[in-house]
Amino acid sequence: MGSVKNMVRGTIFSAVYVVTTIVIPLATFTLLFNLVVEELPLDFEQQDYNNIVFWIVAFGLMISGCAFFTFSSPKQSIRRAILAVIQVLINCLYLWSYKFSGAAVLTFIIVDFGVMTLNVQQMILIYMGLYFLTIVLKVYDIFDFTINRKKIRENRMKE
Amino acid sequence: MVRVSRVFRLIFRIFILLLTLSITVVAFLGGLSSVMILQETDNIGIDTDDAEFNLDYDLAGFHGGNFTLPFNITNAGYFDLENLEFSLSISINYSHIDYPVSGSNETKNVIVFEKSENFGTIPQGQTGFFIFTADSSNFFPAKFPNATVVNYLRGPPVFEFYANITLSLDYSLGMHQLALSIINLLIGELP
Repeated sequence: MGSVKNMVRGTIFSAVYVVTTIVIPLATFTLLFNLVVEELPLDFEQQDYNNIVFWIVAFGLMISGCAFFTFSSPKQSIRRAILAVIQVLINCLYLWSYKFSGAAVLTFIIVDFGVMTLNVQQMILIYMGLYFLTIVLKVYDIFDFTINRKKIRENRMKE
Repeated sequence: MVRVSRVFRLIFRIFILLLTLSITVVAFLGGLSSVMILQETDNIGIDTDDAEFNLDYDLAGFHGGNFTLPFNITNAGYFDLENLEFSLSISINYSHIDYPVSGSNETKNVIVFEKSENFGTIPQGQTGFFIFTADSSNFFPAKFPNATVVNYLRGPPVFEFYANITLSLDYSLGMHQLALSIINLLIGELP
């Protein structure tokens, strides 16, 4: 029964990551690209939009796939701890992809008016800082699960 | 019984979660505020028709000038609007004779004016009324074209004055930086 429960948990978390890393960002960018400023529509390079969508979907799928394996692993197992570190690292790459795909500094042409630039690099750097703290936590988990492996197994047997 | 190491981990985990949650909420509200400010027509009141541009320039060269532009911004968002900066550059467009080689003329564009002014912060829900002013000290007299090199047969107008206006601001603790630019706006012609 435990393995089925783990699989279900993995699937649920995978779905959560699909929503948070693919669906919400794509919806946000689609809304942004359809924004009307001062009653004037925004114009943009289709290639920019395609670039952003490609990288969000590519890394989003990697994170979601990794989330399945992480969360379907037994609680407090070394496997789970290692997969969690890998997942955070992919999350960092995902955030970094915002920078190199052009999503961190968006430039729009406001037809018959000028140019609008939205820079969210500072926000991405703050999130990178948070991911660094998460990496510290996950590495701590690896040490903790390795050192206390015997005790964890005993507790698992009692359950 | 919960191990001590897990309690320490739980405290650290809650700290990271709270931090992530607060930053996400601030970022979301900041993004929403930007949309609220930009979508309403009256929130950014820059009317270039209200601009006053006086220039004392003749064949002998530049003698003086000034520029005034009143504008207003309404902060309709959830946070204070910080670091509001207004930048203006004015360039002259003219035909340069015997350039780059003798016998050929080329249209040149030289920047003769540049100024940036920081208007500080507009608190949430308030409207800031500002006047951007510039005087002769912001012009570059040496950059004005020498009367002997101008192709007067091109015009009228012989000289065209174009402005590049940029309004930039920081939002939600600097996480969002927004810049609006009006590019190559014709503000005057001579003669």
